[in-house]
Amino acid sequence: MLIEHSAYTNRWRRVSPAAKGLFSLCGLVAAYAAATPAAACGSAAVLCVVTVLGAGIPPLRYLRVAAPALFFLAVSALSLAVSLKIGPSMADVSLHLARTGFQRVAQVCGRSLGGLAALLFLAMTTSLIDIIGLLRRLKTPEVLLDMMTLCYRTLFVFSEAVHDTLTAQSARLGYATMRHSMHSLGGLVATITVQVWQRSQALHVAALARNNDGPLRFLEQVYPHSTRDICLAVSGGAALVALVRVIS
Amino acid sequence: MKQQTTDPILEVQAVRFRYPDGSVGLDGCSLAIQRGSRTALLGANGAGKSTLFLHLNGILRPMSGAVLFEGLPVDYGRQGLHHLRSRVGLVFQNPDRQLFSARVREDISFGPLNLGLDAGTVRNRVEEALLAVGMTACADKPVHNLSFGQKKRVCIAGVLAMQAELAQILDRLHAEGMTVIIATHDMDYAYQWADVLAIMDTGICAASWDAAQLPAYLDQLEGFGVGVPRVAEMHKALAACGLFGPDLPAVRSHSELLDAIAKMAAVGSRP
Amino acid sequence: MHIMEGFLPLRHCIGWSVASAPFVAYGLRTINKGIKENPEQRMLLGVATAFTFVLSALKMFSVTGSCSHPTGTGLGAVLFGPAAMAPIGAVVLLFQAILLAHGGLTTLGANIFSMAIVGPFAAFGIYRLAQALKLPFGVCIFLAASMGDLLTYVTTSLQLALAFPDPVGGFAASFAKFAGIFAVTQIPLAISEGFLTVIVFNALARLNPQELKDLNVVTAKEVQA
Repeated sequence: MLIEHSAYTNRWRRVSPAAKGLFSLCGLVAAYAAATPAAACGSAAVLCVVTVLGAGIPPLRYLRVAAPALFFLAVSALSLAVSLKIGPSMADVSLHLARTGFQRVAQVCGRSLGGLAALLFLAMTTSLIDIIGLLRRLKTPEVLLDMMTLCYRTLFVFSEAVHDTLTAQSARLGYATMRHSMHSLGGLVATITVQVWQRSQALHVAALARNNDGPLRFLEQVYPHSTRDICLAVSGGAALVALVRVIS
Repeated sequence: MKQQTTDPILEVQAVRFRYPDGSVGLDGCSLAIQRGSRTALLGANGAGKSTLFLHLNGILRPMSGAVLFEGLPVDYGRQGLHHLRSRVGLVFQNPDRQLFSARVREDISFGPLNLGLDAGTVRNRVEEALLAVGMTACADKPVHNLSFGQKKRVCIAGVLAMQAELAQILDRLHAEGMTVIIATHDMDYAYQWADVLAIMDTGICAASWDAAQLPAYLDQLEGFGVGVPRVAEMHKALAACGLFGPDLPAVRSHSELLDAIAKMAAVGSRP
Repeated sequence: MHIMEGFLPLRHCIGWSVASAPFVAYGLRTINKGIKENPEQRMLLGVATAFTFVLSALKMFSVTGSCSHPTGTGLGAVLFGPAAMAPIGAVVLLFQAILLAHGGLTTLGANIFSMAIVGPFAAFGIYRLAQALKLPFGVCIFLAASMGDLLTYVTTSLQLALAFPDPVGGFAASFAKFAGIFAVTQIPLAISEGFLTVIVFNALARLNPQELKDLNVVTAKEVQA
């Protein structure tokens, strides 16, 4: 998990998540406010530079994180550009490039790039636990927050269990043929499924032992210079939106 | 069995407990834990160690019999449980089944916040507990990047943070001592560490011995299938060879045994 | 079938979020009611969310030849109920966006609608219908899992077609195009997910029939202290 690693090691990891969230939000607004694809791409470039130079994310890692989404965008853009023409009979179906749609495809691509850069800024600088803390301050329903906290903690426990079981199964030729694979994978998922009940029961008992009788309560994290960071983020974000409006 | 006459902090009296699926958890278990003692609970899987622990913290309620805390029967009302659980902490075997939050400080703050303490107090307690378990430097790492041992320390810190009196005395632990009970399969470790060894067997506390007196009960111990301390076994064998007198004090660890042998050798080589 | 960040026009983003909100709210109310009756459900739902996240990250690589993931909507809907799957799915999709840059924040509403609402409700409805028709258990599960998968992708195609109608053929042509493109990967995936889910339930039956009989009961014996 490269994003996860960046979130805990980047230069801005102690910056208030509210500030980073607001800047990322401005990035999303800029992507949608851009009237031309070029302006949206400009916004994406600014966000990318801020993430790499500001937060100190290695450029290569940034690219590796963005690559799957970029590939996905390329495929989607291709499917947008192609148009299906259905003739008078059902057999008469043909694909052709819709020339009129080109402008639209460029617009969508620009917007997606801008949006992706804004998302990556938040994801690569802010740990999920900080984002959950931010959502707590934004008065997200308690149950949803508890689900997120528990999910974030437990998903690593499950990933480890899955990884270990996969290794053990592969070592005994569990994935040698397709038939074996299906059965091994099915067995793996079933084992993890049973663990859902076992682990939740254990966590429940552990919570009782520590005097819990309702929603999970945690201490709020304190961030130094929170107000200053928020002011900086908002002015930077506003400047980005203004810039995008000016060039488009 | 040795008669306990001093001041027990926790006591279970003829506790019976059956799980909803019908399996027997405890079947008339009695045991007294002395204040300030170190008790090791030994027994095979399913002997009732975990069930007993869950009773000591008030999570399970006996179907018959009683659990006494500081001489008084546990009050299973909200207030009573609140009191009991703020005094009796529970650290589970597997930290992955106990830690809720991926942030170390958040997880430690969980218990004290449940006690209804204000944020400032909780913040102090969290820092104290982190210091006590030596995890201050790792506190900013997410839990999933910690080693097993480090996670375990976070669990202990979570319990420590609930009890101010305990956290304060921690650096003077040896002087004042808190009451500690552990459940383990490691007989060698238990023999070396504990003052009292309690043996669980099919839902009852079958025996409770002072560790110092254990050598006298080795034959009985073997019958429970929890193993025999290797040091005690070797001590016995050496005594059988005539190297030690039978009335020598118990040797509890490997190094103690080596010392004793060296001493004997020195005595033996003297003209 | 994640729609990526920024891909949908603003009006569609808002529209799908508004459409998803009542389902998530209803799911949260159901969960809250469940927690009141049975407090350990709080933990169960958190752990179930992690389970769903990890499941969706599993690769069914050697099965379809390419890198494809099970959606888990069918399995989840049968295990945890379709109402709970809306908030569970919402959290999973949020986590996928933030931890994996898969999907997005602006498209969260649309993705929730297809994957956390249509998929699970369709899977559960089909499961119940198949049971009412007295089909064998394996067939019920297969239909639920594979149809849940298929309907998820049909919904995504619909969302894309609504957002990007064909300049010439309009909505219908666009829908046919997107559905056709996805069909290549999604139909084999749906079938393998159907089979996988059947195998999972068979293995579950062997492992612990008690949990299948009463999904909310776990024996305290399993607690390890």
